Amino acid sequence: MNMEIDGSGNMLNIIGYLDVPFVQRMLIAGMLAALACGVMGTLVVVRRNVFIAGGISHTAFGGIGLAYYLQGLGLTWFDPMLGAILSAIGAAFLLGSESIKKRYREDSTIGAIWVVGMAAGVLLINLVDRNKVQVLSFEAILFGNILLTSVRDLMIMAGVTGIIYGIVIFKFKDMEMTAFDPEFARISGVRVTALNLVMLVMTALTVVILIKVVGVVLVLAMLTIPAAISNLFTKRLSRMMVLSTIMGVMLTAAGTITSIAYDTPPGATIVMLMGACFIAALLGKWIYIRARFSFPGKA
Amino acid sequence: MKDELALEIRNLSAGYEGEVVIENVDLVIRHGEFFGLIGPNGGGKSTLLKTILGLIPPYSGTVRIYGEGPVNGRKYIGYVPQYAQFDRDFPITVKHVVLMGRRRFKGNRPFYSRKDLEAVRDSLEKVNMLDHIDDHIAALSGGQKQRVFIARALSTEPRMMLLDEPTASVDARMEESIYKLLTELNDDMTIVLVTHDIGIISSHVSSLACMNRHLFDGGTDGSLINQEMLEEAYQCPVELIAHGVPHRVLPPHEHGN
Repeated sequence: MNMEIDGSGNMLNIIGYLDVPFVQRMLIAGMLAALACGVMGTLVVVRRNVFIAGGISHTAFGGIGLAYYLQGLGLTWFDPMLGAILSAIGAAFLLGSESIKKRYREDSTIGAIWVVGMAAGVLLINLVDRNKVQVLSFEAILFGNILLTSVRDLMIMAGVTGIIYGIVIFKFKDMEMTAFDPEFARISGVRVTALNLVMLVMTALTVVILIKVVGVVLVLAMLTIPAAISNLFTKRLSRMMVLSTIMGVMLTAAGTITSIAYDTPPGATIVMLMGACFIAALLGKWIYIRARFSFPGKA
Repeated sequence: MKDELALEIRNLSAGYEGEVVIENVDLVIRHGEFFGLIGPNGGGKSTLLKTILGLIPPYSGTVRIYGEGPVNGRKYIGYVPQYAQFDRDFPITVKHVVLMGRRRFKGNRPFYSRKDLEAVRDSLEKVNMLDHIDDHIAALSGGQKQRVFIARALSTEPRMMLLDEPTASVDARMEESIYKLLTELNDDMTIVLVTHDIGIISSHVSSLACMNRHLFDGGTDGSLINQEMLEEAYQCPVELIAHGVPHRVLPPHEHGN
C-alpha cells in the first residue's frame, strides 16, 4: 500500500518506521483516541449508552456526507470533521432530550437516527461532484484511515481530549453519582439533566475524533471493549477509567504496529485485537472464579 | 422539637403526563413519629414520595417539610430508595456509595473532604457495616446493601428518614434487624416507611396510613385503621392478621359495631 513499507511482516523494521512522519502521526492519533475513549468509554459503558454512541457515530457519517456535498457546492471551508461534529452534537441533543425519551421508546429513536444518518451520508456523498471535491472512500469513512491524519487533525484531537479530561476531573463524583443513582443525585443538588447532556456531547466529540482513527463502524468497539474488559477487573469507576485508558493505548499501539507490519487495514486490525482480548479476559475471569469458589472433593 | 411538624401535606394531587395518580391527600407527620404508609402496588405511594422529594411538581396542594417546600426542605430528608433498581456490574465500593450522601455538603467542589470521609465512617458504624467499607456493592447480600443505603441517607445528617420498601427482597431475620435499627434511629429522628406489604407493619410503627389514590389516615397507633378502610384501599378483602402469631399486623379492632 505504500512505497516505504514492504508489508512483508518483518517486525524488526518497525523501529525504522518510527522515523516516518505519517507513522508517527498515526501512532499519536491512536494514542489520543485511546486516551479519550478510556474515559468516555467507561462512562458510556456504565451508563448503558453504547447504542446511543452508535447512533451518534452513524449520524456523524451523515454529517461527513453533508460536508462533502457543501464543499461541492463551493463551501470549501466546510471540513468533513466540522460536519461530523455538528451532526454528532445534534444527535446527542436529540437522544438526550427528556421529552423525546418520555414519548417514544428510546431504542426506536436511536435506530431511526442511526439508519437515517447512514443513508443521508451515502446519498450526499453520491451527489458530490467528484471533479470538484476529492471524497474519501466509504471504506475509509466507515473503517477509518489513520494514514491520512494531518497535523491539524492531531491538534484538534489533542484539544478535544484535553477538554474532556478537564470536565471529567472536575465533575467526576457528580458523573459517578448520576450514572449510579440519578434520582438521589437530583435530590442532592446535582443538575442531572444538564450533566447528562454534557456527557452526551462529550460522547459525540469523542466519537468524532475516533472516526478519524477507526472509522464510524468501529468507533463502538473502541468505546466499548477496553471499558468492558476493565469493568471485569475493578470495583472503582476511577480505576476503570485508568485501566481502560491503559488498555486502549496498548491495544491501539499494538494494532497499529501490526497493521503496518502485515499491511492490513489499521482500524479493523485494532478492533480484532480488542475483540480477542475481551474474549480472553472473559475466559480468564471465568476460570479464576471457578478456581476460587470450587472446593476440591465436592461435586 | 417534639411538636414540630416533620411533614405537612395539604390537599395534594399529583401524577404524570396529566394523569392523576394521587388525589386530595392530606397528611401530617409530627417530628419523632415512626410512620408507616401502606398501600397496594400502583396505589400512588411512589408518586407521593417523588412529590415529597420535589422530583415531580404537584398539580395542586402543598408539601411542607419542616416548614419548607420540597426543594428546600428535602435537605432534612434522608432518602432510602429501593436498592433492587441498581446495576450489579457498576464498579463502586460501599465507601463511595455512602459518600454520595455528602454531596449536599460538598457542593460543586470536585473532591470530598476528610470530614466527609469521617461522616461516612460514622454512618457505616451506626448500621454496623464499617467492616465492609471497601467492598464492591454487588458483593453484599440484600440486607447488607439495604444497610449501606440507610448509611448513605444517614450521612446526609437528616431529621427524617424516608424509606421506600426497605424490606423488599430481604429475608425475615434481616427484616427484623432492619426494624430494630430503624427503631434505634427513631430516638432522634422521624421515620417514614413505605411498603406494599401490610404483613411487615409490626409493633414498631407508631402511626399508619393507607394509600390508594386517596389517603386513609389510620391515626396514632393505627387504631383508626379498620377492615373497611384497608379493603377500600386495597380493593379486595384483607386479612388483618398476617404471618402467624408474633406479628399482629394491627391492634385489635371491633367487628360489626
